[in-house]
This record gives sequence, C-alpha cells and structure tokens, in this order.
Amino acid sequence: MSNAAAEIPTAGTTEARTVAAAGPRDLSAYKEEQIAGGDLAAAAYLLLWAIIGAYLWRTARRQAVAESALRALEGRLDAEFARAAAQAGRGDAAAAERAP
Amino acid sequence: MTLPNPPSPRPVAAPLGLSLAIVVAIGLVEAALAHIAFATPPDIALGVVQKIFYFHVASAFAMLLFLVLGAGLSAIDLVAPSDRADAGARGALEVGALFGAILLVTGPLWARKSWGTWWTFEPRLTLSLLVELLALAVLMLRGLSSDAQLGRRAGAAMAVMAAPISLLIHLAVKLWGGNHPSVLQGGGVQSAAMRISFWLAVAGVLTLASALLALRYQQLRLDQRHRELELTFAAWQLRRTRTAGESS
Repeated sequence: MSNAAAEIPTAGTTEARTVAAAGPRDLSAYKEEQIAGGDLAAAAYLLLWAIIGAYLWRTARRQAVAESALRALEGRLDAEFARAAAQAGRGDAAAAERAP
Repeated sequence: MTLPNPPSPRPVAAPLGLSLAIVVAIGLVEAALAHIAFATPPDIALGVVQKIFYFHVASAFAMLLFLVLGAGLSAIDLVAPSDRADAGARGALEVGALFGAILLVTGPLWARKSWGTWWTFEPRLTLSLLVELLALAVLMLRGLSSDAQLGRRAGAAMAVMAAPISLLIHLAVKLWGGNHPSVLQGGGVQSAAMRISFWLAVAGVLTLASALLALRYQQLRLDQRHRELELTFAAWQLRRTRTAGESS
C-alpha cells in the first residue's frame, strides 16, 4: 500500500470527521472511492430479488423432477396392475377348467 | 389366492392457504417497496442508503424466526421421528438460511456507506455469519450424507445445538456492544412513514418466508411420499413373485 493510500480517511472514523479541521489535504482519492447511497440501495434490492428468484427457480426445478419421478412410478404401477389383473384372470380360467 | 392390488399413489394435500399466502406475501412486499420508495423520507444522517434498512432488518427477523423454528422441529424429529417434522425442519432451515444470505448481502452494502467498510468482525455480524454457516452446514450434511437417516439425525442435532447461537445474535449488542445498532430500542425508525415502511416490510418478508416454507414443505412431503411408494411397490413386487412361485 502506498503512503497516499494509507492516508485516505474512511467515513465514520475519527480521521474522517477531523479532515475539515486539519486543513487542506488531497482528498481526490477519497472522493473517487465514495459510492452513491442510491446505487448501494438499488444493488441491495436487486440482490435481494436475485437470491429469492434463484431459490424459487431451484424449487421449481426440484418440483419438476419430483413430478416426473411420480409420473414414471405411476406408469410402472399401471403396467404392473394390468399384468397382475391378467394373471388373476388366467388363474380364474384355469380353476374353472379344473372344476368338476 | 388373490393378489393384492399395487399401491395407489395418494396425492399429498397442499397446505391450506398456500396460494392465498403467496398472493398476500406479494401484495405486502409490493406495498412495502412502494412505501419505501415513494412515501418514506431518506434518513437525515445516512441518506438514501438507509432504505436498505427495511428489508435488511425484516430479513434478520425471518432468519432468526425460521432457524429457531427449524431447530424446534428438528428437536421434535429427534425425540419423536416423523416425516412431517423432518420436512418442516428442513424447509424452515432452508428458508432461514435464504434470508440469512439476504441479510449478509444487504448488510455490507449499507455498512460501506455508514461505517466506511464492507465488513467488520463485530459481535452481531460475526454471530450472524457463524449461524448462517452452521445452517448451510446442516443443509449440506443432510443433502450429501450417504446414509439418509444418519444425515437426518446428525443434521437435526446440529440444528438444535445452533439454536442458542441464533438467539445470541439478538442479545449480542446488549451483551458485547459493537458497531451494530440495536434496531428497535436504538431509534432505527424516526418518523411515522418510516415505521409504516418498517412494519410493512416485516409483514411482507415474514409472509413471503412462510409461503416459501409452505411451498418447500409440500415439495419435501411429495419426495417423501415418492420414496414411500417406491418402497411399497418394491415390497409388493417381491410378495407377488413369491406368491407366483408358491402357486406354480
């Protein structure tokens, strides 16, 4: 860090509050470093919605995966149910043939 | 012998009022944003950047509330294991961590202007970071554990242990001081318009967090129901194979 940078006071410190009393100093670097409060507030609200949006997007993706898995299971259940019903039907026919 | 029917996929009922909660949350958040932007004067000392305050503090409330709720449900799940408590705990911890992330992102943006630094390791900030990292650790432990039951119980125990630290965030300013103001006792809201914005933001964020929890809870219950059905189906197939073997 250069000497010039080390002398830059930051807002809220004792040095920053006493700058005016200390007399003329080169504050160009300090002024350039300042970020407008409106920009910070806008960034905060944008990031807030970005985080919530990302969570909602992830939740929607998880929901789609869960629904897809349930649909696949439903298809397998339907197939098994049909196979079981067919087997039961064959069993009834065989029993009827064996009956006196 | 008649074979039993395959298991039927019983749908998981949506939590009562989920759609209503989402609509109310959006309405309250929009009202809060409009009030903050157009009806609330900027702070005399800090200027426009103080408008971060409303959603920053509301996010802190949501973080604390939902992490403590998650810890409470984790304790219930440890004492009397149930899928409902597990889904509720996991959802609450996720929502708490979500608003913790918002808190830790919006805080430094405000601090840069008011304190002149993005971050300082003062008690309230450090504890908030610690609790957020603990919440993320619990969620990672649950998500990445190869033994789901072990991950569930270890995560629940960790969440219960982290709960007192969450409460310490609230007391940090009183106990150890530091730069961070005590919001409700420290004069964070100076005018009637600011108070309206503040409570609108708190109501909006808490309703939004509740709606997100209800959404995530419903989804976790759907996952649990899916796993339950897969197991029942596998057991049914095994029984059917055995029955077919016995009859032939």
